[in-house]
Amino acid sequence: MELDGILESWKEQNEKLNACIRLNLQLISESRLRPAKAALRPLTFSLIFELAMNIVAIGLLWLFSWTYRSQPQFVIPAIVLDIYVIALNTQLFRQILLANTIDYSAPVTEIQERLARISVERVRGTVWTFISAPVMWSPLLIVGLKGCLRVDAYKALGFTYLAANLLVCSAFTYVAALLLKRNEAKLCSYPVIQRLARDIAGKSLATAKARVAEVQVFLEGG
Amino acid sequence: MAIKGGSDQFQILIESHRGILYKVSKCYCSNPDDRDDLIQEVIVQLWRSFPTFDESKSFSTWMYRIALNVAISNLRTEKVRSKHIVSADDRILEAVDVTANVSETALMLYQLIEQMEPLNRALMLLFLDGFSHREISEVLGISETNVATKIGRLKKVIQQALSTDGQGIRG
Repeated sequence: MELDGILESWKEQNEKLNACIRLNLQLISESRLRPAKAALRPLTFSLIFELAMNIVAIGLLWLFSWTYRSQPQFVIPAIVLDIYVIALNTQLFRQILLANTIDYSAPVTEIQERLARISVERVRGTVWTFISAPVMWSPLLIVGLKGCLRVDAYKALGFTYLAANLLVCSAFTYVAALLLKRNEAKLCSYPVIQRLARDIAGKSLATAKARVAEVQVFLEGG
Repeated sequence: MAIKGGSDQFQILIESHRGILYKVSKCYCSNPDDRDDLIQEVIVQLWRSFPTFDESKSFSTWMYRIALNVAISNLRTEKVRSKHIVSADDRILEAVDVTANVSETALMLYQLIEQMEPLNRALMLLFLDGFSHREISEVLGISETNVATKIGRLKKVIQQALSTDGQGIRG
Protein backbone atom coordinates (compact mmCIF):
# COMPACT_ATOMS: atom_id res chain seq x y z
CA MET A 1 0.00 0.00 0.00
CA GLU A 2 1.26 3.48 -0.90
CA LEU A 3 1.36 6.47 1.44
CA ASP A 4 -1.79 7.99 -0.06
CA GLY A 5 -3.60 4.74 0.59
CA ILE A 6 -2.38 4.80 4.18
CA LEU A 7 -3.75 8.31 4.70
CA GLU A 8 -7.06 7.33 3.10
CA SER A 9 -7.24 4.27 5.32
CA TRP A 10 -6.58 6.43 8.42
CA LYS A 11 -9.37 8.79 7.34
CA GLU A 12 -11.79 5.88 6.97
CA GLN A 13 -10.65 4.63 10.35
CA ASN A 14 -11.50 8.00 11.92
CA GLU A 15 -15.03 7.78 10.55
CA LYS A 16 -15.47 4.26 11.96
CA LEU A 17 -13.99 5.41 15.26
CA ASN A 18 -16.57 8.14 15.72
CA ALA A 19 -19.29 5.55 15.24
CA CYS A 20 -18.01 3.14 17.86
CA ILE A 21 -16.93 5.44 20.69
CA ARG A 22 -19.21 7.42 22.93
CA LEU A 23 -18.46 10.02 25.58
CA ASN A 24 -20.06 9.61 28.97
CA LEU A 25 -21.47 13.12 29.14
CA GLN A 26 -22.85 12.51 32.60
CA LEU A 27 -19.31 12.01 33.91
CA ILE A 28 -18.04 15.07 32.10
CA SER A 29 -20.69 17.33 33.57
CA GLU A 30 -20.26 16.00 37.10
CA SER A 31 -18.08 18.03 39.38
CA ARG A 32 -16.06 14.91 40.16
CA LEU A 33 -13.97 15.76 37.15
CA ARG A 34 -12.66 18.86 38.83
CA PRO A 35 -10.53 17.20 41.51
CA ALA A 36 -8.93 14.98 38.87
CA LYS A 37 -5.23 14.67 39.39
CA ALA A 38 -3.52 16.84 36.85
CA ALA A 39 0.09 15.93 36.16
CA LEU A 40 1.47 18.84 38.11
CA ARG A 41 -1.07 19.27 40.85
CA PRO A 42 0.32 16.88 43.51
CA LEU A 43 3.66 18.65 43.17
CA THR A 44 2.01 22.03 43.60
CA PHE A 45 0.05 20.99 46.71
CA SER A 46 3.16 19.67 48.42
CA LEU A 47 5.01 22.84 47.48
CA ILE A 48 2.24 25.06 48.89
CA PHE A 49 2.28 23.10 52.16
CA GLU A 50 6.06 23.44 52.36
CA LEU A 51 5.80 27.15 51.58
CA ALA A 52 3.23 27.66 54.36
CA MET A 53 5.40 25.80 56.90
CA ASN A 54 8.41 27.87 55.92
CA ILE A 55 6.46 31.12 56.32
CA VAL A 56 5.55 30.03 59.86
CA ALA A 57 9.23 29.23 60.49
CA ILE A 58 10.30 32.67 59.19
CA GLY A 59 7.80 34.33 61.55
CA LEU A 60 9.01 32.32 64.54
CA LEU A 61 12.64 33.10 63.72
CA TRP A 62 11.85 36.82 63.51
CA LEU A 63 10.15 36.61 66.89
CA PHE A 64 13.14 34.75 68.33
CA SER A 65 15.61 37.29 66.91
CA TRP A 66 13.61 40.17 68.40
CA THR A 67 13.35 38.48 71.81
CA TYR A 68 17.11 37.81 72.02
CA ARG A 69 18.21 40.90 70.09
CA SER A 70 20.77 41.83 72.77
CA GLN A 71 22.45 38.38 72.64
CA PRO A 72 24.35 37.98 69.34
CA GLN A 73 25.25 34.34 70.11
CA PHE A 74 21.54 33.55 69.58
CA VAL A 75 20.60 36.23 67.07
CA ILE A 76 23.32 35.26 64.55
CA PRO A 77 22.26 31.57 64.26
CA ALA A 78 18.62 32.72 64.00
CA ILE A 79 19.48 35.14 61.17
CA VAL A 80 21.49 32.42 59.38
CA LEU A 81 18.47 30.08 59.64
CA ASP A 82 16.15 32.87 58.53
CA ILE A 83 18.21 33.58 55.40
CA TYR A 84 18.28 29.84 54.66
CA VAL A 85 14.49 29.47 54.99
CA ILE A 86 13.88 32.64 52.94
CA ALA A 87 16.15 31.24 50.20
CA LEU A 88 14.20 27.96 50.29
CA ASN A 89 10.91 29.82 50.11
CA THR A 90 11.99 31.97 47.20
CA GLN A 91 12.86 28.84 45.29
CA LEU A 92 9.57 27.14 46.24
CA PHE A 93 7.53 30.21 45.36
CA ARG A 94 9.20 30.33 41.95
CA GLN A 95 8.34 26.68 41.33
CA ILE A 96 4.70 27.20 42.35
CA LEU A 97 4.44 30.27 40.13
CA LEU A 98 5.95 28.42 37.17
CA ALA A 99 3.69 25.40 37.70
CA ASN A 100 0.49 27.40 38.08
CA THR A 101 0.90 29.76 35.19
CA ILE A 102 1.08 27.05 32.57
CA ASP A 103 -1.35 27.60 29.74
CA TYR A 104 -1.89 24.18 28.18
CA SER A 105 -3.36 25.76 25.07
CA ALA A 106 0.06 27.22 24.21
CA PRO A 107 2.20 25.45 21.56
CA VAL A 108 3.39 22.00 22.59
CA THR A 109 7.14 22.66 22.38
CA GLU A 110 6.81 25.85 24.46
CA ILE A 111 4.94 24.07 27.26
CA GLN A 112 7.11 20.96 27.22
CA GLU A 113 10.30 23.02 27.39
CA ARG A 114 8.86 24.99 30.30
CA LEU A 115 7.83 21.81 32.15
CA ALA A 116 11.27 20.32 31.61
CA ARG A 117 12.90 23.47 33.02
CA ILE A 118 10.62 23.28 36.08
CA SER A 119 11.85 19.71 36.61
CA VAL A 120 15.46 20.85 36.35
CA GLU A 121 14.81 23.55 38.98
CA ARG A 122 12.99 21.14 41.27
CA VAL A 123 15.81 18.59 41.18
CA ARG A 124 18.49 21.24 41.71
CA GLY A 125 16.47 22.57 44.66
CA THR A 126 16.16 19.12 46.24
CA VAL A 127 19.88 18.41 45.89
CA TRP A 128 20.80 21.86 47.24
CA THR A 129 18.51 21.37 50.26
CA PHE A 130 19.88 17.89 50.91
CA ILE A 131 23.48 19.09 50.87
CA SER A 132 22.97 22.34 52.77
CA ALA A 133 20.57 21.09 55.47
CA PRO A 134 23.27 19.50 57.73
CA VAL A 135 25.13 22.82 57.91
CA MET A 136 21.95 24.30 59.35
CA TRP A 137 21.67 21.65 62.06
CA SER A 138 23.90 23.41 64.63
CA PRO A 139 22.16 26.83 64.33
CA LEU A 140 18.82 24.97 64.55
CA LEU A 141 19.97 23.20 67.73
CA ILE A 142 21.07 26.51 69.30
CA VAL A 143 17.86 28.34 68.35
CA GLY A 144 15.58 25.36 69.07
CA LEU A 145 16.96 24.67 72.55
CA LYS A 146 16.82 28.33 73.49
CA GLY A 147 13.45 29.04 71.92
CA CYS A 148 11.60 25.92 73.11
CA LEU A 149 13.35 24.91 76.34
CA ARG A 150 15.19 28.13 77.32
CA VAL A 151 18.42 26.12 77.32
CA ASP A 152 21.69 27.81 76.32
CA ALA A 153 23.27 25.27 73.95
CA TYR A 154 26.71 26.92 74.28
CA LYS A 155 26.75 26.27 78.02
CA ALA A 156 24.81 23.02 78.08
CA LEU A 157 26.58 21.29 75.19
CA GLY A 158 29.72 23.31 74.63
CA PHE A 159 31.23 24.74 71.45
CA THR A 160 33.19 21.53 70.72
CA TYR A 161 29.99 19.49 70.78
CA LEU A 162 28.27 21.91 68.40
CA ALA A 163 31.24 21.83 66.00
CA ALA A 164 31.38 18.03 66.20
CA ASN A 165 27.66 17.91 65.52
CA LEU A 166 28.16 19.84 62.31
CA LEU A 167 30.89 17.43 61.19
CA VAL A 168 28.86 14.34 62.09
CA CYS A 169 25.79 15.67 60.25
CA SER A 170 27.85 16.46 57.17
CA ALA A 171 29.39 12.98 57.27
CA PHE A 172 25.94 11.44 57.73
CA THR A 173 24.64 13.35 54.68
CA TYR A 174 27.60 12.16 52.62
CA VAL A 175 27.01 8.51 53.65
CA ALA A 176 23.24 8.85 53.05
CA ALA A 177 23.88 10.29 49.58
CA LEU A 178 26.27 7.43 48.84
CA LEU A 179 23.75 4.82 50.02
CA LEU A 180 20.93 6.43 48.03
CA LYS A 181 23.09 6.50 44.91
CA ARG A 182 24.15 2.85 45.26
CA ASN A 183 20.73 1.49 46.23
CA GLU A 184 18.57 3.68 44.04
CA ALA A 185 17.35 0.71 42.00
CA LYS A 186 16.33 -1.27 45.12
CA LEU A 187 14.17 1.52 46.52
CA CYS A 188 11.48 1.26 43.88
CA SER A 189 8.72 0.28 46.33
CA TYR A 190 8.98 3.62 48.14
CA PRO A 191 8.17 6.30 45.55
CA VAL A 192 9.20 9.26 47.74
CA ILE A 193 12.57 7.73 48.67
CA GLN A 194 13.08 6.49 45.15
CA ARG A 195 12.47 9.99 43.82
CA LEU A 196 14.91 11.44 46.37
CA ALA A 197 17.42 8.73 45.48
CA ARG A 198 17.08 9.51 41.77
CA ASP A 199 17.50 13.22 42.52
CA ILE A 200 20.61 12.66 44.66
CA ALA A 201 22.06 10.15 42.20
CA GLY A 202 21.73 12.79 39.49
CA LYS A 203 19.43 10.61 37.37
CA SER A 204 16.44 12.96 37.65
CA LEU A 205 18.56 15.92 36.66
CA ALA A 206 19.97 14.02 33.70
CA THR A 207 16.43 13.01 32.64
CA ALA A 208 15.12 16.57 33.01
CA LYS A 209 18.08 17.98 31.08
CA ALA A 210 17.56 15.34 28.39
CA ARG A 211 13.93 16.51 28.09
CA VAL A 212 15.04 20.12 27.62
CA ALA A 213 17.56 18.97 25.01
CA GLU A 214 14.94 16.80 23.28
CA VAL A 215 12.60 19.78 22.87
CA GLN A 216 15.45 21.99 21.64
CA VAL A 217 16.52 19.40 19.07
CA PHE A 218 12.91 19.14 17.89
CA LEU A 219 12.68 22.94 17.63
CA GLU A 220 15.88 23.11 15.64
CA GLY A 221 14.66 20.56 13.15
CA GLY A 222 16.70 17.63 14.38
CA MET B 1 -12.90 36.64 19.99
CA ALA B 2 -13.06 34.58 23.18
CA ILE B 3 -16.01 32.25 23.53
CA LYS B 4 -18.87 33.13 25.93
CA GLY B 5 -18.77 29.45 26.75
CA GLY B 6 -21.46 27.49 28.47
CA SER B 7 -21.06 23.90 29.48
CA ASP B 8 -23.58 22.74 26.83
CA GLN B 9 -21.53 24.22 24.03
CA PHE B 10 -18.41 22.71 25.56
CA GLN B 11 -19.99 19.26 25.70
CA ILE B 12 -21.21 19.49 22.11
CA LEU B 13 -17.73 20.44 20.89
CA ILE B 14 -16.02 17.73 22.93
CA GLU B 15 -18.55 15.15 21.79
CA SER B 16 -18.02 16.01 18.14
CA HIS B 17 -14.24 15.77 18.55
CA ARG B 18 -14.18 12.67 20.77
CA GLY B 19 -11.97 10.86 18.28
CA ILE B 20 -9.08 13.14 19.28
CA LEU B 21 -9.41 11.99 22.90
CA TYR B 22 -9.32 8.36 21.80
CA LYS B 23 -6.33 8.76 19.49
CA VAL B 24 -4.23 10.86 21.86
CA SER B 25 -4.89 8.56 24.82
CA LYS B 26 -4.12 5.47 22.72
CA CYS B 27 -0.87 6.94 21.42
CA TYR B 28 0.40 8.21 24.79
CA CYS B 29 -0.89 5.65 27.27
CA SER B 30 0.21 2.06 26.99
CA ASN B 31 -1.95 0.93 29.91
CA PRO B 32 -5.69 0.96 29.04
CA ASP B 33 -6.60 1.57 32.70
CA ASP B 34 -4.57 4.77 32.70
CA ARG B 35 -6.22 6.08 29.54
CA ASP B 36 -9.35 7.13 31.38
CA ASP B 37 -7.25 9.16 33.82
CA LEU B 38 -5.52 10.83 30.91
CA ILE B 39 -8.82 11.60 29.16
CA GLN B 40 -10.15 13.04 32.40
CA GLU B 41 -7.10 15.27 32.79
CA VAL B 42 -7.40 16.42 29.19
CA ILE B 43 -11.08 17.31 29.68
CA VAL B 44 -10.32 19.21 32.90
CA GLN B 45 -7.66 21.26 31.10
CA LEU B 46 -9.96 21.81 28.11
CA TRP B 47 -12.71 23.06 30.40
CA ARG B 48 -10.32 25.38 32.24
CA SER B 49 -8.99 26.85 29.01
CA PHE B 50 -12.39 26.95 27.27
CA PRO B 51 -13.21 30.57 28.28
CA THR B 52 -10.13 31.73 26.39
CA PHE B 53 -10.87 29.67 23.27
CA ASP B 54 -11.06 31.92 20.23
CA GLU B 55 -14.20 30.96 18.27
CA SER B 56 -12.72 32.29 15.04
CA LYS B 57 -10.08 29.55 15.19
CA SER B 58 -10.32 25.82 14.67
CA PHE B 59 -11.54 23.87 17.70
CA SER B 60 -9.72 20.70 16.68
CA THR B 61 -6.36 22.53 16.50
CA TRP B 62 -6.96 24.07 19.93
CA MET B 63 -8.11 20.74 21.37
CA TYR B 64 -5.10 18.91 19.95
CA ARG B 65 -2.74 21.46 21.54
CA ILE B 66 -4.19 20.91 24.99
CA ALA B 67 -4.62 17.15 24.63
CA LEU B 68 -1.04 16.70 23.42
CA ASN B 69 0.40 18.95 26.12
CA VAL B 70 -1.43 17.06 28.85
CA ALA B 71 -0.60 13.66 27.34
CA ILE B 72 3.13 14.38 27.02
CA SER B 73 3.28 15.81 30.57
CA ASN B 74 1.37 12.78 31.80
CA LEU B 75 3.78 10.47 30.02
CA ARG B 76 6.68 12.03 31.97
CA THR B 77 4.98 11.41 35.31
CA GLU B 78 3.39 8.05 34.46
CA LYS B 79 6.09 6.04 36.21
CA VAL B 80 5.45 7.54 39.64
CA ARG B 81 1.66 7.49 39.50
CA SER B 82 -0.29 4.87 41.38
CA LYS B 83 -1.94 2.24 39.28
CA HIS B 84 -5.64 1.50 39.61
CA ILE B 85 -8.39 -0.17 37.66
CA VAL B 86 -11.29 1.89 36.29
CA SER B 87 -14.60 0.04 36.04
CA ALA B 88 -16.40 0.06 32.69
CA ASP B 89 -19.27 2.17 34.13
CA ASP B 90 -16.85 4.87 35.22
CA ARG B 91 -15.16 5.29 31.88
CA ILE B 92 -15.52 8.68 30.22
CA LEU B 93 -14.85 7.32 26.77
CA GLU B 94 -16.95 4.24 26.18
CA ALA B 95 -15.67 2.21 23.29
CA VAL B 96 -18.02 -0.23 21.62
CA ASP B 97 -16.10 -2.94 19.85
CA VAL B 98 -13.32 -0.61 18.73
CA THR B 99 -10.79 -3.39 18.26
CA ALA B 100 -13.06 -5.16 15.77
CA ASN B 101 -13.24 -1.96 13.73
CA VAL B 102 -9.52 -1.15 13.69
CA SER B 103 -7.94 -2.02 10.37
CA GLU B 104 -4.55 -3.66 10.08
CA THR B 105 -3.16 -0.44 8.65
CA ALA B 106 -4.38 1.57 11.63
CA LEU B 107 -2.94 -1.02 14.02
CA MET B 108 0.41 -0.83 12.25
CA LEU B 109 0.33 2.97 12.45
CA TYR B 110 -0.51 2.93 16.15
CA GLN B 111 2.38 0.52 16.75
CA LEU B 112 4.68 2.77 14.76
CA ILE B 113 3.56 5.84 16.72
CA GLU B 114 4.13 4.10 20.07
CA GLN B 115 7.79 3.58 19.15
CA MET B 116 8.36 7.28 18.47
CA GLU B 117 9.57 10.07 20.73
CA PRO B 118 6.66 11.96 22.35
CA LEU B 119 6.99 15.07 20.15
CA ASN B 120 7.26 13.01 16.97
CA ARG B 121 4.13 11.10 18.01
CA ALA B 122 2.31 14.43 18.10
CA LEU B 123 3.60 15.32 14.64
CA MET B 124 2.63 11.93 13.25
CA LEU B 125 -0.90 12.14 14.67
CA LEU B 126 -1.44 15.60 13.23
CA PHE B 127 -0.02 14.54 9.88
CA LEU B 128 -2.26 11.47 9.70
CA ASP B 129 -5.28 13.55 10.65
CA GLY B 130 -4.66 15.71 7.60
CA PHE B 131 -3.67 18.99 9.24
CA SER B 132 -1.86 21.49 7.02
CA HIS B 133 1.78 22.41 7.64
CA ARG B 134 0.66 25.78 8.98
CA GLU B 135 -1.78 24.17 11.44
CA ILE B 136 0.83 21.67 12.59
CA SER B 137 3.34 24.47 13.11
CA GLU B 138 0.76 26.34 15.23
CA VAL B 139 0.00 23.31 17.39
CA LEU B 140 3.62 22.31 17.92
CA GLY B 141 5.22 25.76 17.95
CA ILE B 142 7.78 25.04 15.24
CA SER B 143 8.33 26.68 11.86
CA GLU B 144 6.49 25.48 8.74
CA THR B 145 9.85 24.65 7.12
CA ASN B 146 10.67 22.50 10.12
CA VAL B 147 7.27 20.78 9.84
CA ALA B 148 7.88 20.07 6.14
CA THR B 149 11.33 18.59 6.87
CA LYS B 150 10.00 16.42 9.67
CA ILE B 151 7.04 15.22 7.63
CA GLY B 152 9.42 14.27 4.84
CA ARG B 153 11.28 12.09 7.36
CA LEU B 154 8.03 10.65 8.73
CA LYS B 155 6.95 9.59 5.27
CA LYS B 156 10.20 7.68 4.89
CA VAL B 157 9.65 6.02 8.27
CA ILE B 158 6.13 5.00 7.26
CA GLN B 159 7.34 3.68 3.92
CA GLN B 160 10.10 1.70 5.63
CA ALA B 161 7.56 0.23 8.01
CA LEU B 162 5.35 -0.60 5.05
CA SER B 163 8.14 -2.37 3.24
CA THR B 164 8.96 -4.38 6.39
CA ASP B 165 5.39 -5.25 7.32
CA GLY B 166 3.99 -4.79 3.85
CA GLN B 167 2.80 -8.36 3.57
CA GLY B 168 0.32 -7.85 6.36
CA ILE B 169 -1.01 -4.45 5.37
CA ARG B 170 -4.03 -4.43 3.15
CA GLY B 171 -5.85 -1.37 4.43
